[in-house]
Amino acid sequence: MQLILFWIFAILMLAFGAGVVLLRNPVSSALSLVMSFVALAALFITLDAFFIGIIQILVYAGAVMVLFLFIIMLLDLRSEQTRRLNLAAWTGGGLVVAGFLGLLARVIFTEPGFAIEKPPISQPEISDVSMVGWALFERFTLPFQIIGVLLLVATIGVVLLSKKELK
Amino acid sequence: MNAATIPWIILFAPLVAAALVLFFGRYSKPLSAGLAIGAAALCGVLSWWLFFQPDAVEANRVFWINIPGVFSVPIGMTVDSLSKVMLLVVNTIAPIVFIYSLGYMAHEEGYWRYFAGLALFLFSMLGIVLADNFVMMFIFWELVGVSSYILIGHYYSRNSAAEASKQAFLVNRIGDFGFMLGILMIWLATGTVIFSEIFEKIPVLQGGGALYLTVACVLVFCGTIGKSAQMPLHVWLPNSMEGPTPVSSLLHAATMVAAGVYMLARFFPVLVVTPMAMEVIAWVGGITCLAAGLMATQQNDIKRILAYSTISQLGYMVLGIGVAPNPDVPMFHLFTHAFFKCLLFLCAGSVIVGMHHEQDIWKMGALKNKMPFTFLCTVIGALALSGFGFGPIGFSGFYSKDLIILWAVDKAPILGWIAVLTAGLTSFYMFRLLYVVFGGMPRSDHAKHAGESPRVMVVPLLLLSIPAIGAGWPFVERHFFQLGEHPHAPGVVHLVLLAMFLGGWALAWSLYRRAEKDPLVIPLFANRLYIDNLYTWLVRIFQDGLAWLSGWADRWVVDLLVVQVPSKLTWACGYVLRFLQLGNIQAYAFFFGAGVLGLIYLLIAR
Amino acid sequence: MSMTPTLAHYLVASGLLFTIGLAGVLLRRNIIVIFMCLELMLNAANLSLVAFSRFNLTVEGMPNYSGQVLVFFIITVAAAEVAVGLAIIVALFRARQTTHVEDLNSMKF
Repeated sequence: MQLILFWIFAILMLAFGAGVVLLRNPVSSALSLVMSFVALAALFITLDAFFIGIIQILVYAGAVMVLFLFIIMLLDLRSEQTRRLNLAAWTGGGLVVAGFLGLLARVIFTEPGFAIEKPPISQPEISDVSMVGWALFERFTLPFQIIGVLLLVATIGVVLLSKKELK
Repeated sequence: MNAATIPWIILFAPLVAAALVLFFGRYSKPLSAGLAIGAAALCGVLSWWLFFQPDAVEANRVFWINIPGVFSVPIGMTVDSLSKVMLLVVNTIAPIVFIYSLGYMAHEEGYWRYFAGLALFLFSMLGIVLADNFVMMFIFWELVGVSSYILIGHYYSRNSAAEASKQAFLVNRIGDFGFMLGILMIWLATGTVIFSEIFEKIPVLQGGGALYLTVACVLVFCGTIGKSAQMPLHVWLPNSMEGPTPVSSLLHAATMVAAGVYMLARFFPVLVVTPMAMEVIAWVGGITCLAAGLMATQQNDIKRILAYSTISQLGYMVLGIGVAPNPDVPMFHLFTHAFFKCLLFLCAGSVIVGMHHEQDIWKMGALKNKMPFTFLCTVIGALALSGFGFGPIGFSGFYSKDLIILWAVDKAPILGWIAVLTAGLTSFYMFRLLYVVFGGMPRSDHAKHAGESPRVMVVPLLLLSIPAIGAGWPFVERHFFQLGEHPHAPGVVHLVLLAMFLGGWALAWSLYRRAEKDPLVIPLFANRLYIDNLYTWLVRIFQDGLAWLSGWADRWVVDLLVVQVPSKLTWACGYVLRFLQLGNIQAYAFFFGAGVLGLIYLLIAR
Repeated sequence: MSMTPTLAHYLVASGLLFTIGLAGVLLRRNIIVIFMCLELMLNAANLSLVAFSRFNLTVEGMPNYSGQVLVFFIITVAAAEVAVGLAIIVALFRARQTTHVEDLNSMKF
């Protein structure tokens, strides 16, 4: 059962990911990406990472992609005209992608430690939200604070960048 | 005060005097002169006292460098018959010349500098005489060169004097280079530089092969070629006449230039077993003798005539080293030559002072009545130099010079007859000098108004005349030298020599007795065989060549290889690499991805 | 053939997603779409992290939540980055009137 679920969601995720790359219309790409994120969130849930899964939906699909769509609408982008085929770019890109796939296969299938099954959790009654919270506030306090500062900086940066002209 | 410490006092007294004059001499002229003369007189007295003591070869040796078994250089004194005689020569003439300087330098500039330099010279010369090893001798050899440089360049504001002192030092240096190589070769073969030990190791030297020993001896002889102004390094001596005349008489006639001969005499036990080296030495001496004699006949400066005469007589001494069986034969000539040449130079100085520092003989004339004592002493000196004598009696030069000539005729006939010819030349140019300077009619105002020099200058002349006459007499020289057997030369040589003397005199009489200007003009001799021109040309070629080479190296090696190539290479690299800036984001992403891929491959997948 | 997905499954999925994102970055010519493919790559990494976090248990038998905390951070940073990046793209569009990546080549030699 788990395996079938995994396959379904994995295939969905990959298919919609391919959709992002292959579709012409930017809006279609954006919507495709949203669906990919939802499938990914499902995969997170299968991995017992409930908190992360929900956060993925809320933040990525809910906020980030909405922002993307806003900008696409703002800029009023048309579909990409097909310009002449850039052979250099396609060969280069193809090579890099192929190389990466090869490496990936090599690493994953030669390493014996990757063929393990999902081990059982010893205390499944403790919710992973509280566990993540503990880890976040106990061991990663400083990075947490810095992330806060980062968000502040990003906000200020965006405000500045959006001005029409600086006086 | 015993015989062991006396040599040390003799050596260092002049140095102390020099230091004191250096610090305090400028405040008082009499003080500087007094210190120098006092030191010289003290050395003179002590040398005479030491002469009558028994020999002490290893008196008080102090080690300067001591690496046992490898290299030890002592500072020690050799007091044997050779050094005692040389000490006598140096320390008898030195006080006389110093006293003479009182008169000569009375109105000259740099009084205290002069006496300090003279005292320093005396110290250096005594170091050479007393040295018991090659390195110590070499050190003092160089010191003598320095003193000579200081004294020749006494009138340093004169360009010619500065050039002359530089030339003297540099030419000497060339000879000294060979000398040093020779010392090194000897040291390599025997492991020591001390004379007495080297002489004990002569069989070791001979075992190293005749070629090695010959080369070493000839290299050591190079030092003499430089210091004693043999061909081809003779060019500095005539120019050294730029110094004050007492300096010329002491250094460049009697003592310093004789140091070369003294060194060969000291080294004689090794030379005598190296016949090839002896031949080289004899030939160099003979050629020098003749060439200098020829050049002297055409010189017009009174001091230069005497300078070339000195070179010629040094040639005789070196020839003597080469042909005689023991070193006392040339040392005998060194002994007599020191006295009469010093006398002649001091007479020349007297004439120069009387002529208000005019040195051209063609501006002089008829001085014999105006400067009678000088004239008398010059005649005595000239007769001694020309070797006037008949049968068993004669002036000092007669005995010493003729002895060398006889040995030369015996051992190397060609050189012998060259020496005989030169004797005639000697007579000719000395009588030329006498007739032109003292005879004839006055040729300038100075000559008309000349007068005798002050007593402080004339008395030394008279003092020196005594050994000039008598130092060669057998019952005198017997105390100083063991001349050994007589050479087997045909008796006709004596007659030929007498004929040469008279012939030279006659020729000079006929040509110069009433001459207004020189009737004989031989450009080859007057221009000193063009050797000076040759040297100038050589130096110029070398300098231009070196400059050209340096320029080439700078332009093609340094500039091209070290400057241009890196700069052009960097520029080229920059030009090529700039094409990586494509401006296209995806291109950059591609490079990025490819790089990351490579990294992953290297780190993980390998 | 296992009945449950192994770690390798998740890693392969993550890798493929990353590759798809990489291909998009290299091959699409609209800057916004390139940016979206960048997000795909980030998410692939997130999946990988969560998978490792789940499969490598600590000594107490619980998953190692450091991985999930890191994913949390990555999501946050990605959000901030998207905001700023889009602001820059908007400014760029205002200046150049194009989002075609080949037209943005004023840094070319």
